[in-house]
Amino acid sequence: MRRALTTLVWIALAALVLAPLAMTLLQALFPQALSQGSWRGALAPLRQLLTPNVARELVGTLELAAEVTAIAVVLGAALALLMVRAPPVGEAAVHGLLITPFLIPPYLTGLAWSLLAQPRGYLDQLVGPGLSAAARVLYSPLGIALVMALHLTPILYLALRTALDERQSELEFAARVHGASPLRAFRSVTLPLVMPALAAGGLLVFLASVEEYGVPAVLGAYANLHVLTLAVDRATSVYPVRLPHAAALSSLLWGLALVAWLLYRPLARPTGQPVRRARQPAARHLWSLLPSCGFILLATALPLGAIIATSLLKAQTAGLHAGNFSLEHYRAIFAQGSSGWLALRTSLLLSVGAAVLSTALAFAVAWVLRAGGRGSAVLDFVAALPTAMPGVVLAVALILVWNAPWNPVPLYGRAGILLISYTTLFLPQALRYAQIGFAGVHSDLELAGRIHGASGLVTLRRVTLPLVLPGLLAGSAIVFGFAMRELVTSIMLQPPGVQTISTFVFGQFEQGNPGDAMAMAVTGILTTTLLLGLFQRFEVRGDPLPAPSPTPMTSR
Amino acid sequence: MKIRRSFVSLFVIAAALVVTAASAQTLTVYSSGPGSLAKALVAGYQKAHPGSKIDLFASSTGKVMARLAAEQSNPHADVVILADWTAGLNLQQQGDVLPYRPAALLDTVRPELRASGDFVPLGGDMVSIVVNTDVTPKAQMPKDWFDLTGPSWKNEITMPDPTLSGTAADFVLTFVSRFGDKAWTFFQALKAEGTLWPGPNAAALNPVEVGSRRVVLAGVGHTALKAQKAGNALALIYPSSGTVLIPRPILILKSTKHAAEAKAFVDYAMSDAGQQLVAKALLIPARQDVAPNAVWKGFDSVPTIKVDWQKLASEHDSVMSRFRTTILGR
Repeated sequence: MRRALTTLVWIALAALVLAPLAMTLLQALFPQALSQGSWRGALAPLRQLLTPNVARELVGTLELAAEVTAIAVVLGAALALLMVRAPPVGEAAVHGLLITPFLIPPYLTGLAWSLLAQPRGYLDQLVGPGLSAAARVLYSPLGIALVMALHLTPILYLALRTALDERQSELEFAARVHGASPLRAFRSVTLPLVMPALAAGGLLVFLASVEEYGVPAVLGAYANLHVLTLAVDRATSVYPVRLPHAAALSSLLWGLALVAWLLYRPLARPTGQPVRRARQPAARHLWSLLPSCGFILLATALPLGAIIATSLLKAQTAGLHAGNFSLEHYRAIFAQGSSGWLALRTSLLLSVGAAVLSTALAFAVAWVLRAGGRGSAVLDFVAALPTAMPGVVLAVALILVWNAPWNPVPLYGRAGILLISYTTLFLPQALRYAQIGFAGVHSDLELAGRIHGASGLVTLRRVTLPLVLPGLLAGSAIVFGFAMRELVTSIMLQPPGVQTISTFVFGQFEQGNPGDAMAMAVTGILTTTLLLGLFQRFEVRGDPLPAPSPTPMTSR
Repeated sequence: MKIRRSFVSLFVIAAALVVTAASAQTLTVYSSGPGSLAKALVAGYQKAHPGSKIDLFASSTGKVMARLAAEQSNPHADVVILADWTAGLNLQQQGDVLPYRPAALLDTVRPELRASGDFVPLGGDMVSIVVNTDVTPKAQMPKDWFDLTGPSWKNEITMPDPTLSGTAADFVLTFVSRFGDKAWTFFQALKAEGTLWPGPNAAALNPVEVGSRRVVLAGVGHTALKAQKAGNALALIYPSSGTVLIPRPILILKSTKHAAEAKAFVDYAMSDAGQQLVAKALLIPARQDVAPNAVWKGFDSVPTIKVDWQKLASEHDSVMSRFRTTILGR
């Protein structure tokens, strides 16, 4: 029973994770091995990476990721300090709002900011011209870094806030009692204590920025931005297709992501039970509403406002005034059989499918992992590997596997390929929740089942599964949420005649129909939020579940 | 129990998804822009042939061609509509095209669009210099391609990316073939003065439409004319040294399993009804008996460069690869 399940799990992981990566490396090392069965031209794609153009793309990626990380660290640290040391009036609400940037996928934040800051955009209309500087900043490498950082700052804010909450008062107080100045106490006591959280959060943001495709794809063209994700996309989706080059670039990008992830992994392990000490009730301040709400305005309120306004405007060029508002864009989407309606349906079906598949696999992996034994460390690593797999890398790999002439299941070009890519991308998320679920199940209960004569399968079905079900459901809800907004692989693997929410939004925006695009964006955000909210209510009745914590997936 | 039931229903939905994904399809059409025209043609064909089902993939020429190349061992498309004639000829040279060019259809086509090949043109378009007249001083109005270099044009020009836009690709090919090294020096000068190649035509036009840049070099006609019609202050300037009139091919892939339907689709696109849709999309209709939209008034007196399409098609890969590495820096 356990043997069989272990074998099944390994087969699934080999197909979903290992085969795609192996094919990518093979294509990068021996470009003709797959197409012509020859070893000729070995290493040629890797040698072709040694050009000034690729060097510029690598430097561009590193620069962008460094800028995003720097901005997010500064903003996140400032917000965390503010919220802990000088909490504003209405602290709980402000805290909730500070993490709302997660609601909007990054590419949408990019589109929203171009609606806001472009010449004759909403800022021009509302505040008056003279804001052309805003447009110039937005369409520059720095502007792209700012938009990405707005989206990723909550990761650092959450990590640092937790660390500060746990560590702050007593030790620092002790230092003060022993005569340290406030600055010295902070520098030599608090800072070293929050360093691990800072490093972990910073690495997560760096990893997410290296992987990011959406924001550069939306804003990069006007900034003359050269980054690896865009280069990989171009090598596969623009004629002439250069799959060996794409595979080589993919390997490079994947290497970068892997390094960041390997550095992050040990830091992410829980360091014992978080100690909840009673916090000194800090005084609430009115002034600290200003910086915290300023961030909320830039990161969520303005972009969301622009998205909603655009979805309601009859004629984009006619501007914001009464008489120019209508629901026609929503009507276009909800018209039965319209391309918008089909995209919505496809996304819903694919996301539910991916949630079910990845949760089922995660349950099996977690079950095998819990039993421990040989190879469980390797299994854990492989199942978590998609975290360090940028979407563009997975897309290239899936093309290589599922479009290969020897593959008897030609999934490429059909909606099924997206089911595979979503399941793979979000497996680590599902696994985390499954493991959290298992952590609450005592093996005694299963033993009791066995002692009372139930077979292994019956025990699994009637004892273990019901106990971990809340964790599985929470995990599948999260996977569903991420799949509903996934952009990279949806766009790179887009089968003919199949659109998802994200490719619809992207395509309509590109073709100059921002109204339809944004109506779909609002519908997507609302549907996801509503369904996730329903799930949350559902769980409250069962065991309390840990709140979803940010992971690199936030960039997807 | 409730929880378990909801889980079971999730599985049922997933199963339904797999079934939906595997359901059969009739005809697959890949089309480069304008996407609205492709959609209209598909809708019109389905109305004329009730019960037919068509899957459409609409994108830029560069992406359509990439998809065709990626699917070479496992082709999906039956009918392909492209924005540039050389792309069609390249598919033909690779042996991917099922010849469909009946004399009866060809006879209806405007002589200036009757380029050689195993397929017919759906319509035509012309590239020009698209100027935002609000932000461009009168004295600076360009009259020729080569007027666009010099300090006053720094950071003022966009051009559709020829790796994506088929018409821009055919422009580059024609331009290089006509002017040789002078053309490459010109492109280098454009690059040095901060010219942007942000994407296909819509992406190149957008900054000029809103006035953050002054000029689109080699902008495609229908996109600029649509923006002009919508009230934007745009002027289309046809250079004295000549532009290109680019026929847009509609072709059938040899791999098709639905040749009869594919031919019916091409026939519909070339019918009076189909060609009215082409005119409505602000392209020059292929049929001589269908008048182009009024915005194209006088297009037949615009100076054009004479083009040997077969020769351009044979130079396509080397010229585009040089453009990509040295000008676009990719």
